[in-house]
Amino acid sequence: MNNYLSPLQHDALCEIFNISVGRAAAAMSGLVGEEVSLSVPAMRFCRLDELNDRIGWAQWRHVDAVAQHFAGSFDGDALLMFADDDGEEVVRLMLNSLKQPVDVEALTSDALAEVGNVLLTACLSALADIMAEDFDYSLPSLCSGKGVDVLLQRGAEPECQVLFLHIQFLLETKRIEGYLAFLLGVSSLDGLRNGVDRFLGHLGAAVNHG
Amino acid sequence: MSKPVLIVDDSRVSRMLARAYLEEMRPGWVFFEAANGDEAIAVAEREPIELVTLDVNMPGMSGLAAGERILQIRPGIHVVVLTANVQSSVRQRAETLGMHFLQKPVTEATITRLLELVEGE
Repeated sequence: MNNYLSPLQHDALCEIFNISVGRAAAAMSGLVGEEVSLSVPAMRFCRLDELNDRIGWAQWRHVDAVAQHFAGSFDGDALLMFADDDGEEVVRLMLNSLKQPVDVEALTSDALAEVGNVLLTACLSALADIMAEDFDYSLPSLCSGKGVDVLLQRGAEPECQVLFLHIQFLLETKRIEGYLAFLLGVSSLDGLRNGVDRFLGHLGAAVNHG
Repeated sequence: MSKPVLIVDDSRVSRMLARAYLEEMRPGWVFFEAANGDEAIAVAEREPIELVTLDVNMPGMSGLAAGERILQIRPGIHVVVLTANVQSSVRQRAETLGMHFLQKPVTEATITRLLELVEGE
């Protein structure tokens, strides 16, 4: 896919992401009381402004996203993105379990930030453990817009090269769709690669990147 | 029996969920809330708190630092870290400080487990 990762590292990174997102999916399933299915992880290495075409967000009217910056030996942004009104639906499902009446509309922003916090931190915690990392996290922030616009709101330039790891999740009975994604700049790739190698080392794999 | 409980979380929704489930399961308990570590310490100095639920990632002081200070103010009380930050390093720090550790989200099952932890001792 690129010159930054060998095929073995690429495969390992997808597996690490898969395991990490699995923990987030378990957290989401607990929140909404529904089974969550996950797609196969995908990785894109491209200019930020090329992501719209490559990810297929065009059919979404808008995206509600929760973002958290993480920093360790490499850093980046983790994002939870919901298509159209699906974020609000997740909030409704989360608050449905309460027996007392609540004003869902008044709580939506706060609740969406907390959903993002729970899912992203669960995912990043798993990633940290697998890669023998120790991440610090920012507080969650909300953003919304059309497709890649939510990524540009993180302050990156449209033409900058990024590694975009993403996985689609689906709550099938509710037809709720979203993405969990990591956005890393080129300067973080050495640290990321070292983390992948630590994972491979733990597996006892013969790390031969030739 | 009335037990003073302090719920510490910067998320209003998480505080509301934790409180609602606890109120439902233990209707006689008395609840206080704090949105950050400094507020939590101030409540613990003022009120005879017996149980604290504590988020980790909050603005300002971390939940673990606040919990450590609260245990100095009120030694022997139950402090339950309730967080999505389940990195091994965070869990180990919490347990070294004598705190229980539970993973978010805040659900009925999570609060049931919390009560088992603090009432099972």
